[in-house]
Amino acid sequence: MSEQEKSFTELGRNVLSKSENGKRIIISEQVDNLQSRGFTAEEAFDILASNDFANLSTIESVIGEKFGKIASNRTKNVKEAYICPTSYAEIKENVKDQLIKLGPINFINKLSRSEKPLMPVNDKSYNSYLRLASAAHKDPNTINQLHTELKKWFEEAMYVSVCAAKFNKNEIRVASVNGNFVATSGAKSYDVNLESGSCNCSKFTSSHYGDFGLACEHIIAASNKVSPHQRLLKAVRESSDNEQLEEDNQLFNFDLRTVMRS
Amino acid sequence: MSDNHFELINQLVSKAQKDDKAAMEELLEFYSPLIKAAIRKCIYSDSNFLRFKEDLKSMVSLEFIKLVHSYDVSRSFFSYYISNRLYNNLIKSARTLVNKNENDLPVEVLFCEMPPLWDPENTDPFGQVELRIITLEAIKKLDEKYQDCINLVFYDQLNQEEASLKLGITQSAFSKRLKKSMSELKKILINNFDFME
Repeated sequence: MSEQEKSFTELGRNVLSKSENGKRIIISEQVDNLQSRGFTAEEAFDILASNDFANLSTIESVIGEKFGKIASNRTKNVKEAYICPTSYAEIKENVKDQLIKLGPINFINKLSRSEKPLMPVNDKSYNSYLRLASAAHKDPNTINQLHTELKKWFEEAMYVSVCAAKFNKNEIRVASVNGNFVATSGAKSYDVNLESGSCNCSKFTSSHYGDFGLACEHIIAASNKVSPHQRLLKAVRESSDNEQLEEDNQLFNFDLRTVMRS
Repeated sequence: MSDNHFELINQLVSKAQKDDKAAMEELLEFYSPLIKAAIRKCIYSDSNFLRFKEDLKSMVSLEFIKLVHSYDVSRSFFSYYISNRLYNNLIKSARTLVNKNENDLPVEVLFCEMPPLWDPENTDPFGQVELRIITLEAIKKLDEKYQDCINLVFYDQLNQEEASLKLGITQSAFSKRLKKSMSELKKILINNFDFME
């Protein structure tokens, strides 16, 4: 589509979005597009509603017409924001449980000798971590020393996940599908389950994030999508954009009339 | 930047240390959540810093660049290193700046509208805890009728038709009220900087 065609389409959409019928035409077009791509009524509703909270009832009624059922029969999942761990203190217990469950050797191997280790350490450091883990396993009173040494690795993983979730180049997009989420990044897509805090990406599985209570960037992106606070913030931002658009349109109309009179 | 992040980050840091501008820009962009968290912590720790918000933005980038150059790439926890040092370095520079401009400060210092629950030391780079506190506190400051609108749509997840029925008003009146709620909420939230940026 050329730049000129794009600007005409945008202009057309702006004009249409000013009336109820116009909004319905735009939404109807979007629903047709989603339906032809194989999305269900529920999925189409979630996709459109996440971008256009102001016209939920129109979206619902158009989806009802197109899919032959009333989308309002959907179950409403009222969820408080899924809270991803933000500090080592929040996952300390998981780390301790893993040490008890696996024993010191398997515990340190899981952390430092897996396919994508959370702690890529050399043999010398490996031995010193193993000594600490063995001591903590025998005497739980010494576990704090192990926690102090492990903290930096776990917080490193947390920081990288949150930065990667927000990094524009990763372009993580999240769609809700049957109560779960699909996070796509480039050509790859991953299944995210917020109830269990799990993802099927290689980082999550190979680095044993789930066992230690860590979240990968896909889980963080999905939790941001479901968070009512994030949705509210997005709506506030968009409402101010719309106000700006209305002001721009008023300015445009005024100029046009002035030009026509002259 | 998602797989083998230790290696990728170290590569970028090494390049940035050799004055590769693109690598430094990529690091600055990637670590923007940590950078913003450092600014938030700084402002929340002392409302005087709010006056110098724009200066803080330039200062934090400068501190970040200094930290990149002082980092030893043989270690593998750059993010942890940055997170622990950036705020401390920034606050030192900010205090110097405030002291320099002490005479210019108005008698009545700008009040930073922070919820009383706030603990600057626990500011998390995710922003999720802060966002939850800030949005809930901001909603409490709205008129009750606006609070109801927001709660019904965003927290009870009702559509506008259902919400208007619940409030006993027409859908168009509800739509107008919701719009007004958004603009009132924006006025409150705008004081909480980067969440609105």
